Amino acid sequence: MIERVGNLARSVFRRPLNLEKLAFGIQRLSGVGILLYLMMHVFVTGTVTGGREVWEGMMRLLADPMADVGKLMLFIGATFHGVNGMRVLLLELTPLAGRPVRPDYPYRVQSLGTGQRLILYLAMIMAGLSAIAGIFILWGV
Amino acid sequence: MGGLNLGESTLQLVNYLMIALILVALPLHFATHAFLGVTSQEESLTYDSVIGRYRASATVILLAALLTGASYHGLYGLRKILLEVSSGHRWDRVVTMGIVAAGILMLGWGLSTIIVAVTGT
Amino acid sequence: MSVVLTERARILRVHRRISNEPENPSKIMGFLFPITKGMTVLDALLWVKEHKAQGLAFRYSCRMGICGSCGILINGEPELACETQITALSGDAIEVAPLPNFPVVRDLVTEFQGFFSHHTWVMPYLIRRNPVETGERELLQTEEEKLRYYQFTMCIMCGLCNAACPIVGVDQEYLGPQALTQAYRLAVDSRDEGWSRRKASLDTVHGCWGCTVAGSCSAACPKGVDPALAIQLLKRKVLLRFARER
Repeated sequence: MIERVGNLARSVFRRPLNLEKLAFGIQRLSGVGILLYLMMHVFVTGTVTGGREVWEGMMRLLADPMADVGKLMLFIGATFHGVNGMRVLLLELTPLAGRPVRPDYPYRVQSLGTGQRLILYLAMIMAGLSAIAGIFILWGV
Repeated sequence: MGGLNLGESTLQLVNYLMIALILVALPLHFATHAFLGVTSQEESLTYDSVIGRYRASATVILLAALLTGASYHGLYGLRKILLEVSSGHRWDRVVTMGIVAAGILMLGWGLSTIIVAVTGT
Repeated sequence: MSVVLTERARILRVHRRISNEPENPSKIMGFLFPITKGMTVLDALLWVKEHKAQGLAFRYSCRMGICGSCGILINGEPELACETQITALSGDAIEVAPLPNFPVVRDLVTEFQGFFSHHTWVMPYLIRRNPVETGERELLQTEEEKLRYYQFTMCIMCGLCNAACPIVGVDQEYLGPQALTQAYRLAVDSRDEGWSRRKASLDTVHGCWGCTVAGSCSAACPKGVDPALAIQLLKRKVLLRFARER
């Protein structure tokens, strides 16, 4: 199993090194990260049922600066995951992927076309913006 | 899928619906931290502020919906990854059952939090 | 030994391996070869085999990009050796290696049995409810009906898409871009009546839903087949569960 995970990681960085494949790698990574955060978040918010003292104790525990770094990574990851996820959704369900045509040389790869590439750039830009917003919100810089 | 004989497309269709749910509920979830009488991010995480949000009926529905959508979407993705890294009918069943169990646990924990917070601690 | 590289000579670095076992890891051997006008990587391999290393193993057949036999990694990119010009490649050395995601038989020759078995699994032939009529009368089709799948018939089964796909390298049960594309090619062929038979094997996590739209299959395809497009169209067809089935 570990060998296969290693194969996947190597595959992502193997040629052809198209941007969409890198996006797939980041989508996977951010997805697992967000899921782990969600599980932790459900657990942490559950402590509110223990009363004021328990809740405030948990908040003191999470006041660690590393928690803020984690939150920033969550903002960036979740933003990219969401916007790139929309790109994947549109490719799967709408004519954004293209339609079959007579393949005359030079071949134009429709599924890697400009439309979906622009959405991918948008995902990267929005992830960058959420990083800036996150820094402002978390550290008031 | 673990003997239920549902095509994968059924699960994928539900996944698409859950994505739509998240896209609506998540921004609203962030908005409730910014509005409903809150003045700062720190203030939104105080005990009174959190309990106050649970007592608002609209946010209760929002939280339940977001929990359901995010849990399904996240665990469905994890299931897909786990089914890739090893193969076999037995592994498929173990993974699917494990994912379902994790989902029940998350939903159970989250919904019980909502119910206890709403009815008063 | 010093090597004099001129604009008329380059080094071919070949990944050589006797078998796909850990105790026989691959080694890279370099061969200096002269460049001639219009030379392809396949020409270079043939020159090396004739003059320097008679035991060098690689596949080729048509030498014109139509049989799909000569797919290898050229400078890390899955390409057809017969269609890759030496002068189009940068650097003094050209590195050739066997396709990834395929077991290595020897040197640049890889095992395609798994690839072929996935192709067979999707029943890549026209299925008619009445098999007797096949060959007895013409099955007419309009130009529009043909264009719905014609692009996907250009596949030469070179395996470059499967070599490029990140999921094929991980999930051994995943059907792969080539098989899924051919499944779609037949699914939308107006002459085919076998969708209900094919759909079950496609509507699984190892079928069309294993695709994560990484797009590297379409980036690697040398014939403009665009397997990623075919798979997304296949997903839509699978989702339309209540559409009238042929």
